[in-house]
Amino acid sequence: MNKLWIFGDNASAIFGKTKERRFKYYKEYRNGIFPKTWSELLSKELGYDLRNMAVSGQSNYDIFDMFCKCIDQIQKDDIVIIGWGYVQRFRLVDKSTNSFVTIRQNQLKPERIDNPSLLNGVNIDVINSILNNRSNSEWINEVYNWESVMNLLSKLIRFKVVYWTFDSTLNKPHYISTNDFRIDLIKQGAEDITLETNGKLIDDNFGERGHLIQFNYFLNHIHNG
Amino acid sequence: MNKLWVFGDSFSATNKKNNLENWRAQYKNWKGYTPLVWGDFLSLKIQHKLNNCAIGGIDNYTLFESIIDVIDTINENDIVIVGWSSALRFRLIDKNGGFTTIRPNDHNLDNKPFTRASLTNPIQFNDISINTINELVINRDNILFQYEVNRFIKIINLCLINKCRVIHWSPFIIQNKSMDIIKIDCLEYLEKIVDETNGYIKDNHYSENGHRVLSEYFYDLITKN
Repeated sequence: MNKLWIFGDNASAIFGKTKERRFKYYKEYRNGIFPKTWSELLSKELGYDLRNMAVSGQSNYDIFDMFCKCIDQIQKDDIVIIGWGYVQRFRLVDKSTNSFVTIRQNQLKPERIDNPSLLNGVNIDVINSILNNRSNSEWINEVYNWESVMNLLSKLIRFKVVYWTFDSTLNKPHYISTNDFRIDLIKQGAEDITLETNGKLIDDNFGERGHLIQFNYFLNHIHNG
Repeated sequence: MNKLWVFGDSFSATNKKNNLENWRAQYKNWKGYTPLVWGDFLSLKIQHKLNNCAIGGIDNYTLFESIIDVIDTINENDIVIVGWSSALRFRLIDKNGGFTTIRPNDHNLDNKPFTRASLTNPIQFNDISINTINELVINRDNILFQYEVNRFIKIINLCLINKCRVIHWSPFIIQNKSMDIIKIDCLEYLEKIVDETNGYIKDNHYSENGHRVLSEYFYDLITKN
């Protein structure tokens, strides 16, 4: 059976795969059942075995890294969907867990940055100056360079690769996403969790209807080549 | 004619260019001619046309990109030798809007903190303090950043596996212990410029004789498979 490989951040991840507190509340709100995400709906519709490697909150470094980890399992006629995150994100090592932690804008409040378990005491000014540096458009080319080697591997191994993003600065004509993809999906009826729960939960990740709209959009684009 | 592709940093870069680093220009002056580097010696010995793409002071992200840029022009039976740089190095956008590599000169971060003097040109970045550089370098002193390079190595090998011979090594053998590279034992015994010039030029890059010995190592590696 061919496989549908998904690489990306929270916009591609399956609900409940990671232990994020906000999704605990969402599950409770939905009486213990998460809705199907777009990748689950898509794999079922296409008849492909789903390999969703997306992890919430990851940077593009993690996404490319995960692709590299899995590349020797990707086979001819598999479909690979890469959902890039925001280019500004980067990663540092959390030495208490010896793992990477993603740094995102708006994520880091001073009281959290002082938490040594998160960033080993890396100063907030350090974070801000790097985030500021990463707002330069040159960082986008780093992702496009990764894509050229991914495209080469796609040719060699003969799998289909598809790119998309919610980051309008990164979006390109060869992506299946539109320039204002999130807004465009919302215009088509997609709802985030905040809207779906009538503001009872504050979460800008797509909920059930959001994932359904995104699934239909992707299915349409994959069917039309 | 088959090609020898060389990628790497100053330990692989050619002396045959106009805009030489100070130490390289001094050494060339001291020798009275343009000294050869290991890529020159090796290409002569194996009768491959040399494509030396190594860049002095490069970080591994830029190095990886320099390979991606030409990877589809590498032909069957070419030979590719990649000399990975220190995983401590990273890059930021400079005032001109391009990438500049940050290079810590000191290996012993605990005893000798990274100093402004060891920056290539500290005033070339917008809003980046020496403290930011220090904290990032210390954070990068972690095995995970070597594993990141291992993914690059995996991708390069996969792209070239059925095409040509690829050798990965690093002049930073002590810092890069966990990289998937060949460990060249003779590196620390290679003659350096400071040795050859009896301290007249205080530089620890390989002398022409050091480069010749290194080229013989690579020759043995290639011919003895």
